[in-house]
Amino acid sequence: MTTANISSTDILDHVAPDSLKGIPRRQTNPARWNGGSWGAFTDALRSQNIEICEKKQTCRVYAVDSGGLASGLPHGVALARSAEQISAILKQAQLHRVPVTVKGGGLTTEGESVAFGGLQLDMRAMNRVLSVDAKNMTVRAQAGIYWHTLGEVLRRDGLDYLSAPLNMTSSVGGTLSVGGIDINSPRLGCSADQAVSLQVVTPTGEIKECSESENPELFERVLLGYGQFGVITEASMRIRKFTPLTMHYFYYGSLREAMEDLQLLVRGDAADYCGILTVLDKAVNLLVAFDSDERERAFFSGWRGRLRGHGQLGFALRMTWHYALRPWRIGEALYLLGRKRALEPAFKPEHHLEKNKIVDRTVVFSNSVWKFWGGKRMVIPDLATSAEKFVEAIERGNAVCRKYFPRYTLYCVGIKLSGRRERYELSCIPPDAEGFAYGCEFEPILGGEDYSREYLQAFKNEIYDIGVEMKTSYYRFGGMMKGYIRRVFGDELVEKHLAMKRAADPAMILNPDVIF
Amino acid sequence: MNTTDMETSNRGAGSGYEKCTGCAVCTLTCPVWHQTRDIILTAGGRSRVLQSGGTPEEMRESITACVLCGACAAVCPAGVDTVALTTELRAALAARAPRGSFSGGGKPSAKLFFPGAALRGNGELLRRAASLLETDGFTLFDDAGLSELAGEMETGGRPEPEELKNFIHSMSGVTEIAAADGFLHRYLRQWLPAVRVSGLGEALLRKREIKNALKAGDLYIIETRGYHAAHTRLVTFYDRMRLETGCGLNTSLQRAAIPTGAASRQTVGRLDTAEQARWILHKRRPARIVAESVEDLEVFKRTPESPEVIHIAELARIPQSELAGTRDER
Repeated sequence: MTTANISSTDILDHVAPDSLKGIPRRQTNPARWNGGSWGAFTDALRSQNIEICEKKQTCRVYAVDSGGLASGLPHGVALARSAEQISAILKQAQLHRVPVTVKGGGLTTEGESVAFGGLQLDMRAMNRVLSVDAKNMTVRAQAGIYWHTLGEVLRRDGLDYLSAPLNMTSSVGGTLSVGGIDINSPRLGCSADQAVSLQVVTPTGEIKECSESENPELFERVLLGYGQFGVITEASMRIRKFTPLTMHYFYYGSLREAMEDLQLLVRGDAADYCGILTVLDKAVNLLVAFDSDERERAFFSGWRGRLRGHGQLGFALRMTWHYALRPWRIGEALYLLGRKRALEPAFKPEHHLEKNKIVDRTVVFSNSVWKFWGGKRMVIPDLATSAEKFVEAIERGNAVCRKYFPRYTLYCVGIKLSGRRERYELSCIPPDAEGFAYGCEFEPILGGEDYSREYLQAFKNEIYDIGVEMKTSYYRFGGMMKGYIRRVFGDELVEKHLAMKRAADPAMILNPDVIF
Repeated sequence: MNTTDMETSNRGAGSGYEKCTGCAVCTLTCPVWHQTRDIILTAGGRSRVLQSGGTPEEMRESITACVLCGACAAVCPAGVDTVALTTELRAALAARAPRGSFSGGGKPSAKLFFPGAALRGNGELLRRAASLLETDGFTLFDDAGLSELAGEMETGGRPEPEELKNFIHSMSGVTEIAAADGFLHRYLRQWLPAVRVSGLGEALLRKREIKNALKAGDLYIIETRGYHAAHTRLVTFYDRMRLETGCGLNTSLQRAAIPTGAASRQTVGRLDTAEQARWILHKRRPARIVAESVEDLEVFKRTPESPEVIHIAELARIPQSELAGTRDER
């Protein structure tokens, strides 16, 4: 049975063999496509001089995504070379009903970019900057480009992109397809909102340009569309002048206070960048940063006094007192001290500082994220909420973390919403969010511990269940956790989008099993 | 599986390839990735193939494509020794007999200058470099045998253990080595842990007259292999030099050095060194290019977009009499 031939009832009710007993969810890992028409598909492509690599060792390289928990194998891999090549691939895929799974940076954690059979289309081979328009402050790039590579090119002109995930190997196309958050998202919105126009290859192989004025329906469907309605091959995006930034940290003993202060800063547009990073429940970091000295001065004159967070010295004294009264918690105190000693220089490396300002923040953050939080298994369930639900949802998520793991980190940011856009429907943007949305990633520090796959999955499920109960949304939207989408958003909305997907992709071959 | 197969499949084990998370940060600095966009041809690709049971033979193309610039090793968050990975895999493919004599010779001295093959091929620059280092107490060392060994090690060879022991013994009393061939740095540090090993650039930049001769409009081309072999230390050294002199560097946003790939002794037609040079110069308009390595110097001299290109040893004025003296000593 091919994926495309699975009836909707089967999709909705299927429970994969690896799912946990008693956990009420509808689908986890999809079945692997059986490959019946693979030979005819590849023959047709090779007759058009399109290279498909079927070498075992190549396919194995694509077996997992960053999450490391979903494992699949494509029948073959194609490196994306042009919109025309992708068009030819998708036309043949429709004809032969061959699933095509698109991979950019592959930084998904729920197997969204893992191919369970069929063709893996690696977009990273399309990673050129096509033009930089410094007058109108836009850039046109191929969509497989890493944000970091885009940044490298823009920097030669003293320019920078607006907003992108703090991860150097996220691809532009992948990010625009899922939203993308940065610590400047409270000011600039999600990464997808910086797109001006796109070149898209539709699931049936048409190459179309789209923007808010040209093919606007396609534009709105493809942005935050999770790869369901087309492959983004080129993107024009707004850019800005490069600026080093000044960063400050404020320390909290209460997660709730930090979250409330974060919301205060977000609502008041008080900082150019802000976010929360926790070390322990009683050691919470609120970071704020500024592109200009003027904004920094305005913050310190108008906002600093309203924050309840401490400076480093004040917090150190508070913590010393806290642990002096609780000597049996020496292990926790040592962990905190060790973390401080390791993280501080990593987040402020001398060679990325100029006149006390951080240059290339994404490099600094991304290196630290991979070094201190990275691993072969990345378990990062999350919740995306409206302003009203933020504090409660995150406190509940934090309690789940505490139940499962001795050490974990929460990473929270706000996202400015650009009105009620069609693209936000059935996405990581919660349906009840007005003005701003908030999100939080819950990341256990796995260290050398050998947690079972079931344990990690149970943890994720418990976080995702909060989303169902509170009707929030998720940043990690789809893949192994796609059953939650229907439970959160309801049948009516999911069926509406499924109908649109079927109309756009009759054989249901493009990124199957990710959302529907 | 027979013994040979076992040995082959175990190659790379010392590099820690099993720690690779697939983050692909290595690709960002990889010149082969920059030109091919094929993950299989990168250190990350090789690690992943090995992790999934692949053999060196199955990734021959990838193993031979690498220019061993070491940039990926410098930035790998998981700490995979990607240079060791590639050289071990090359050794598995080559299955060559260990190389014999390579000890070389020269006047006994606590501080030795290993010029390397490329600099030895350019008499004028060799005399200049040797003359400048001589004033800091360095003695020119005949390292022709060592250069041959380096060439073999880069392509999968290894030193004969007894000869290596002899070489190490011959270096007793040596406290510092300035080696122009950056590929050797990691090995010299392994073999001679008590000896301070630096590159030619680092050794010359310690001289005030050299540093003072660098100008704000210069683009300084760091020799990549030596730089990445001691990245944690040298990233600060060169960044300070940049701030002090105002010159530009061939570094990326990650502070890895962008290589031309010209120093590679095993590039099977894969890397276009001119394209690398163009990428280094992209949107840059330096008044002058100052190269640490002779290989890079030649590449930039051939690149039409280049302004004046000089070697770092040409930054200082040296009286002809002193140059002649150096020549006579040799």
